[in-house]
Amino acid sequence: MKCIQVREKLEAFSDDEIGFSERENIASHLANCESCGSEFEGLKSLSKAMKNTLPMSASASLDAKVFEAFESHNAVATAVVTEEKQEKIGWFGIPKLAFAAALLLLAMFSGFAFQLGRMSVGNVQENLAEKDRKSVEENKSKSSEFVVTNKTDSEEKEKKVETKIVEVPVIKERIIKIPVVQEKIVTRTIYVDRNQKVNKPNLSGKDNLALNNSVKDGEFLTQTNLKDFQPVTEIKPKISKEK
Amino acid sequence: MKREIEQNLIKRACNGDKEAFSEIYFSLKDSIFGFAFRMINKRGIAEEITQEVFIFFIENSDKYDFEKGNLFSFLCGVARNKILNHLKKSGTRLESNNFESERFENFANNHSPFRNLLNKEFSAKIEECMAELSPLQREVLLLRELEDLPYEEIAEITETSVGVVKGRLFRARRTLAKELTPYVKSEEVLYEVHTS
Ligand SMILES: [Zn+2]
Repeated sequence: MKCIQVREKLEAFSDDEIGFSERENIASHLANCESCGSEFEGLKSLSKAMKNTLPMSASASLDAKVFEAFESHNAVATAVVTEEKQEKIGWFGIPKLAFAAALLLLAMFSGFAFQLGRMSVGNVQENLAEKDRKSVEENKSKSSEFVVTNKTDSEEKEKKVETKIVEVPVIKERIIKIPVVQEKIVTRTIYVDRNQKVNKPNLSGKDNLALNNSVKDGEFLTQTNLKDFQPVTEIKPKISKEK
Repeated sequence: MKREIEQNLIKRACNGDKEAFSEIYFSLKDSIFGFAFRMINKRGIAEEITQEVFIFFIENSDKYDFEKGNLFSFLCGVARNKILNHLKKSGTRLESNNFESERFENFANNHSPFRNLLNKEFSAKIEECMAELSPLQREVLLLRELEDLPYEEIAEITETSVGVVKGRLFRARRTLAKELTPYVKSEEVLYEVHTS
């Protein structure tokens, strides 16, 4: 493989986007060609520096807002579901209203049967029992009819529940609104002790040097008091080489 | 995150399981926020966008299409739309003036742009130099280097082809190397830090 071919594919190689057979060829070229080899290493240090510098952490206040949104979304969803269930289901899964109507019918028919019994005094006991059974059967069929005719009524109920869902976003709007945080601009100079061998402050976004009580203005910067730095506001450090 | 595990978590979160939701949230939020922050460079707006992305997920998790790929790529795409909208609104040009039009080969025949960076200290300047890239170049670079995504997923998120992704990456890295070269240092230097 020629240098020019390798250079063209260097990035894809570094990004692990090269097929197996070509990979082998490029790897062996890089091992033998110093020029391409150092170019590849340079590309890798760029990639490494970006991976070290670019990651950021969101603040904890974001967590609170997102979880609040999650809870309110689910609280609303649960409320709707339970309300629907309560409206629709009476005992044994029969719609409440239909069930009540059936109970009323049953009471009426048993009263009617009682009247019949009183009128036919002297009838054989079995006859009465048969009539009773018939009236109960009749009652059953009537009540089931009633359930069918009443379906429209329970459907209307369901529709009413659905309209309640529409109200929900109004409540959420209010919760989600993000309060505007006023930014505070701070100017502070921190010196590094020349005689003390310390690591350079990490200037990546991760550990932005920020206002912190542990370092007072003009105080010497050491690794220990750097460790506890918490970003307070958005700060873009300007770096200048000391003369 | 493994595909099946992720799908299971999404289903649970969709049914109101807070534990499942927080697992999803904490595994993705810094990546989404980091992407938004590096694109816009303003913490407040980046957090607002991140919040909107997760609220979008909360409200639409029941409609999530598992065939679409992993959740992170999907949410990255949602974030990207919001980011680009913000940039457009604030009057930022998404494409750079000169580099997009320059031919791929011009770079390929070029010198050795990365060799200068070998074993040198320049990380402090990366943020600043990244800001010089056009948003379309910056986003592919971020999705590749920060989020570690393969070309194909980057192409999907940025709604373009793998070829275009490669070209933008190629240009972005060379531009960055060129910008960084003056700042390359080999010894430890003392810094005065101004926070303003
Ligand atoms: Zn070579």
